[in-house]
Amino acid sequence: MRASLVDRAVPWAVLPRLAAVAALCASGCSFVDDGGTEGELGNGNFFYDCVGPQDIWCTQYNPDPNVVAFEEPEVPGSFVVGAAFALDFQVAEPDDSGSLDVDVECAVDGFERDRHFVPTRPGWYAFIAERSDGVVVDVIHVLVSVPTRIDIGAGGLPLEPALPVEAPTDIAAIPLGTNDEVLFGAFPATWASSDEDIVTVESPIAPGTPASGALARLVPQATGDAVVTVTVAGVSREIEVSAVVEAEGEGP
Amino acid sequence: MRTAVAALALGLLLPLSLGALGCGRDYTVKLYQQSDPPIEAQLASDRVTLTEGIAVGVMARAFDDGEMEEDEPIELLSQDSSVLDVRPGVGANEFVLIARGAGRTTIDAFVDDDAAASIEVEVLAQATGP
Repeated sequence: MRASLVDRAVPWAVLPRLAAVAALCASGCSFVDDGGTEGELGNGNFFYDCVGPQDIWCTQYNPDPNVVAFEEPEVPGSFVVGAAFALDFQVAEPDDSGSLDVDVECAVDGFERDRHFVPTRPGWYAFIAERSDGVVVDVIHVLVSVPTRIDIGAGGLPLEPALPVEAPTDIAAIPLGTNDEVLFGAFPATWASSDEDIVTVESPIAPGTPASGALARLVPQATGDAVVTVTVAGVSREIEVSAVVEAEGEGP
Repeated sequence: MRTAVAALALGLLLPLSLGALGCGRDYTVKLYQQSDPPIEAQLASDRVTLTEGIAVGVMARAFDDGEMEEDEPIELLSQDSSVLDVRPGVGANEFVLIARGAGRTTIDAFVDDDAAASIEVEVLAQATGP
């Protein structure tokens, strides 16, 4: 792993805010760039852009739920295979040769989709900052991996012996690589409940629709136990859920 | 006598002719690595080995009888850019080698527009996954 690339765990305490930001971004949000990751040739900085609101890289530093602001918008060092992301580049010392007009491309073909990158094979890949005159200004490499396991973030709620779900509860699937590094990017995920009469799994961004990314909202339907399964890049994780729904007329 | 004059004339004209054809100087070209990709790049004056998906910045230098010619403009051209793409870098004689696909090809090096060297290139496939 390159020392210049950020590799850190997601603080679980931010999960409630993650869901709030994700919901906010469903209707549009703004991004603030400041900093970035220096290119390997030292001619400027690469900046990371999240594709959609479900990339936890872009929400973990958010100081203001009204703006998805990157306090440290470095390029994460590792991604889930099949995850989407975008990169920009800013020249360190712009000149008059059109150097402000710089596009970023991947070293291999087939990873670009609708102005985003979607690496579909594991490995190390270079991303190239190229000026409009064909000059390559800088380079950065990222690692693309199949997860070895999926961690679950539940905002501090215990996962053992079962996750208590007494109200709609937001959770996150956190894919981890070989060295337990968090794998970022906006990745597709499938969520399923073993018993939808007990608990359903919805998107926290578009409630009422199935969850399809890192974030999911568990909604209790009746008191009982169920198993929720999330699958990312072919790797699955199950969690026991204990739902509690007070019958009408009960309670204080 | 006539034979000696003819031999002398040939001896003078042949180098001049070769010089006019661009064969007057015997350059070699060396590549110096300017970046440190996560998978090692192997650069030698006659052979380059990279891994698919990796890019490395290099500076090219021309040598004439072992003497570095810092001011000579160098051009590097890949015979198969789907294997190895050679792009110009920001500075003079700086380039970025981009390993686009597994396979073999050749970089043709030109010094001051004269063909100077051929560098064999091998691009290895990525491992199945880190």
